[in-house]
Amino acid sequence: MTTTQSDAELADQLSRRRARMLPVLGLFFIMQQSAFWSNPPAERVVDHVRIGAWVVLTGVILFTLSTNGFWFRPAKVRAMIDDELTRANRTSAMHWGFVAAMLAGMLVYVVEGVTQFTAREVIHLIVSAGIVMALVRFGLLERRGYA
Amino acid sequence: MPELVSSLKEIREARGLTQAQLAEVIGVSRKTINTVENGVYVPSTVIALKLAAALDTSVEALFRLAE
Repeated sequence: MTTTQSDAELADQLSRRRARMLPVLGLFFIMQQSAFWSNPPAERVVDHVRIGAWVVLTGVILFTLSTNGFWFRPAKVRAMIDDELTRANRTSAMHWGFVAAMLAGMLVYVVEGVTQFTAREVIHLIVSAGIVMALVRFGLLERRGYA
Repeated sequence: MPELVSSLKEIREARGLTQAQLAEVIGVSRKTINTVENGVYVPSTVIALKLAAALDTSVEALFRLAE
């Protein structure tokens, strides 16, 4: 199995870029939380847009994490980017994300006696904890490959 | 779990190959070669066999268990 040099170089370049981008995306996702928590839920149009934007962003991140991304790149390049090590890193990241989501759920369950949460807030907390943890873990593992 | 000791870097350099060239031959990313050489990642049997074939050596020459 041989590939052209440009494919290998492109795969390396894209893989490095992804390793740099993931922690930044995690940071952006955390910063975006302030928009949710600083504005109490209301029935204005802007609130629906804000809630919808979070759903879209979360969906894109989850889909990217699950499928490797780079959907418009050649299959050969995608295969090199999504090689054995990357799949192992992704599995580890998803595991950490699942544990973080479960811990967030347990924490909300305990704190519920002190502070009242809406169903939307609970879902937001659990999903965000899982997504951020998976993103950061995947990014750190991928960066370790270039250390 | 026993630690895996890798001779991949020495054998690859002896063959005059860069990490990128070896990665290209066996169809993985360069970071996979880098992490295997550094002992960060333990490769699957398939990757170990591909590495051995690409470097014209045996898997046992590439990897051994630490004492």
